[in-house]
Amino acid sequence: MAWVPETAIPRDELDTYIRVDASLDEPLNVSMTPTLLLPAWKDSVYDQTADASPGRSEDDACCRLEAIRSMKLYPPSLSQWDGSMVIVLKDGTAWPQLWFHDEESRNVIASSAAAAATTTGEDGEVAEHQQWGGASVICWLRRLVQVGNDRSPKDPHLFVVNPTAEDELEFGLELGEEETADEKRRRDSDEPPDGIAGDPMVNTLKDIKWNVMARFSRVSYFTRTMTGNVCPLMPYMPTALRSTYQEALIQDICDDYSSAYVYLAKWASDASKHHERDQMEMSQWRLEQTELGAAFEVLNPPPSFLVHRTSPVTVEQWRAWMDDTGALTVDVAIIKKAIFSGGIEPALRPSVWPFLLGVLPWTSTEAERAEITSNNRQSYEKLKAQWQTTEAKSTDDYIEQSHRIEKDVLRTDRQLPIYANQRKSNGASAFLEGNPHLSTLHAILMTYNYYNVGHGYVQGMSDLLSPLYAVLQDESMAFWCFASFMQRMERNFSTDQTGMRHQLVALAQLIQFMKPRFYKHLERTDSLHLFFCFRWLLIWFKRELKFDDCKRLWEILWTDRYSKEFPIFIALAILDQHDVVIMDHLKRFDEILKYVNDLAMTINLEKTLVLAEKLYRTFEKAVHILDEQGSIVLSGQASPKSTAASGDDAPLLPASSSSSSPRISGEWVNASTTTMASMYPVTDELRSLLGDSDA
Amino acid sequence: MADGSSADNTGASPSVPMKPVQVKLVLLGEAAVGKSSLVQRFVNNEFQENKEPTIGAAFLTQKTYVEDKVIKFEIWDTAGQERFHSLAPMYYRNAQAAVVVYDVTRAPSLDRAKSWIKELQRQANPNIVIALAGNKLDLVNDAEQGLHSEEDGHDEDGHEDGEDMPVTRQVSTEEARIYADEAGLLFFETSAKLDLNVQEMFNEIARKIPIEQLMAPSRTGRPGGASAGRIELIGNGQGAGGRGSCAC
Repeated sequence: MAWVPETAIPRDELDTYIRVDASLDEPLNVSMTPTLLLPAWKDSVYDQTADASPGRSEDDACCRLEAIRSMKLYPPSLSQWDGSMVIVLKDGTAWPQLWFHDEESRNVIASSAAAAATTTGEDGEVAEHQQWGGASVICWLRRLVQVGNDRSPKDPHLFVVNPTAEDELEFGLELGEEETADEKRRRDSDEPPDGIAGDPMVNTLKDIKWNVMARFSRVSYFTRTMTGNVCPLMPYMPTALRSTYQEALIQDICDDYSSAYVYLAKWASDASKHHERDQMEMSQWRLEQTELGAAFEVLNPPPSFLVHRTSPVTVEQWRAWMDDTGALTVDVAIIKKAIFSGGIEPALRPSVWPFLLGVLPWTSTEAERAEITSNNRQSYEKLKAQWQTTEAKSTDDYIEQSHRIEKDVLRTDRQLPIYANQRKSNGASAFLEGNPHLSTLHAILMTYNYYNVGHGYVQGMSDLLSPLYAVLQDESMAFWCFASFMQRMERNFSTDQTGMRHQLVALAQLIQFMKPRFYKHLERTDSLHLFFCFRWLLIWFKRELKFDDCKRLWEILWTDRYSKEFPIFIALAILDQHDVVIMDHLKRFDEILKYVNDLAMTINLEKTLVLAEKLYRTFEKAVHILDEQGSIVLSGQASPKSTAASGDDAPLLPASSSSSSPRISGEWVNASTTTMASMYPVTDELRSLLGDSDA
Repeated sequence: MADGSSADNTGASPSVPMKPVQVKLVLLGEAAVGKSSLVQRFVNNEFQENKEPTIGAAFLTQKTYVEDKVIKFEIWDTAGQERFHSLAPMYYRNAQAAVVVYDVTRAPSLDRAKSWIKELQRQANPNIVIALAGNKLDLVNDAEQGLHSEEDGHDEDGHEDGEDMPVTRQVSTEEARIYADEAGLLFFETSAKLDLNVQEMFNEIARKIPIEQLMAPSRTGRPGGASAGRIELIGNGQGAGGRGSCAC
């Protein structure tokens, strides 16, 4: 059971996301994985404590419900206008105080309070404070875990969280559904026909989720206000209302049909993603189980991996990892893990990127690195000299490529100060507008064009070089880092496009494995070639992310922490955040392409990273289990009487696999041991997505 | 909901008696000849200096009017470099129109355009309307063009003296026109930057499209297949992604 507040809040919205992952576990028990996402809090105190308390950073704060020891709730009082809440974990650490700005969204509070009152009337001692957010948090939390019914005699504000048996969840089941919450369900009519809408369990879950969200949407940290929110009620409105809200705009564009749909899709994504998406995700867990959905049928219930994003590696940390000679004294795996989890502080990037890109060896001392760098510089100058002779410059190839590179350098990241136009109109006819950095980009790409004769320069490479040079600002170092990066990316630029095709096929299969309903939609729309992901993978989301985010993502990807193919999971994670909107609104490939292209610069990187890691680990686990089943079935067939342990009866399987995956219930293994592995073959493409570090 | 509102819309605007005829148009041509800029000019009436190279493809739509009919162009703007050639067929497949662009200051770009045109005539929809566009007319200060390039040199372009300096034209108007006539193409020399001949070119393409043939398939609405139904009213024609339903 996990409780994950998170700062996935785009810019000026003070909206709150919430996700409830729910699934049916063993027949009688219900396991719930509510994930609560809190508004961002940015605070210096918080940042300072981030290192000391693992699992939290300014971007991500989450903990397992079991890990919560207690919560202190301070209702609003005369001396303190806003109520607040402090969550104390079992490891003794505490979250920063969260404040409930109840008065700032009266409408929401009124409806939520009314709704809450109807269902939680039995919680007498809380009812008196029903009108403030914290009380409801406790109410809803009580449906999920046991929250100390009696406040501690020592401290009247203390609530002890004590998650125990699943019978608490039964309690949640008994609570009735609420019309008010249901009315808000945007997609009621579209509910899948397998009875999800009528399932009291699911409805209850929805209500829980909904109300907790309503509460948390008003939790903020001191200075946060809702002023940025034009229409705070938007996400809570019923569909029809929301549509009316936008009616004028819709009317304006309705004659332009497909644009209207792409527009509607975007709008739906923006305005209602919190609500709609969470809801769909919930039903999808069910659907994917009832449809194909290998990953989720195999992993029943779906695991709830905890992903901790941390703060970036700092210069101080990096220095501390080195001895007097400048050699790293810490295991590379640890360093990479730290970078994967938090990235690198901008000031440290020029030092660390050459390591990540293999230009400088992790084991080297400062002196050795100086020598390597110097040698590299000489080699680079030699390479560069090759194409600077007059005879080289007279070849057709030179003229064509130089022109091409010049054209592309002139239109790569020109909005960045480093590549912007130089105002000095001194050199009127100056090459590349007189900006020496552009000339350097040109020189590096020209040198690469001659260095890698096989591929030469291809469009897209300037996008790959630009961040490297902007960070390193050293021509030779940037060249070697680029050349090394290109070794990874080379397959993307092959003439026959096999490298790209291979990745897109793997991604398609991964979607089929993880998100079959979405896969079917793509199939119906003739979009399985996934060309709308082409740009994503070709240049590693360079055009999709803001420049700083792009640097962050790349350094994370260079660590190869889980797999060299992690970009595929980034792609999956982005699609995962938009699949509902795409399925609901976009019925043609061109619409999907436009929608996906227009996602550029709207992607929340941290959220995507968390999701990607979860998806990867879910995938990995599913494959692991399938392999285990498959091999046992095989060995069972090969030597049915060999041992008792791998014997002929499926029920033995849970015992053998329970050490690594206690969640596997005996039930499905019993029912489908033989079919599961054959039903969901792990193709070579899928397997190629796994890293070596499959433990 | 969407079904309803769009029905209202068509009903409420009697001046537009029918819904737009959708025409799939693809832009092809060597890298950096100005494909994206032409589309930006046509669709948004914008020009962006140093527009980044297209990776993969972009999709845009814009309407134009031919007599009483509304033509809606669905424009596929593709990456130009030869290396990505193998992707092109999926974009020009089922296209009813193509604009093949070259750069009047770069002779090789016309060769590239010619090979695109050959490929289209061989492999694309046989009725495809192809326009040849010689772009970057603003760069050549041909006296006879009488362009107002100077007054268009805004302050923001002031520093780009290098670019505004006259560049030698490498493809003459005559040469291109002769080729275009031989190959049966529409021909325009254009400037996306100065907005020369851009709208005219797309209008001319629209006029050349055999609309009647397109009307037939595009009028048959698919009877509300999927339950979501938001897209259904346009989900026909080539919507299914190229089953040739629009290959007249």
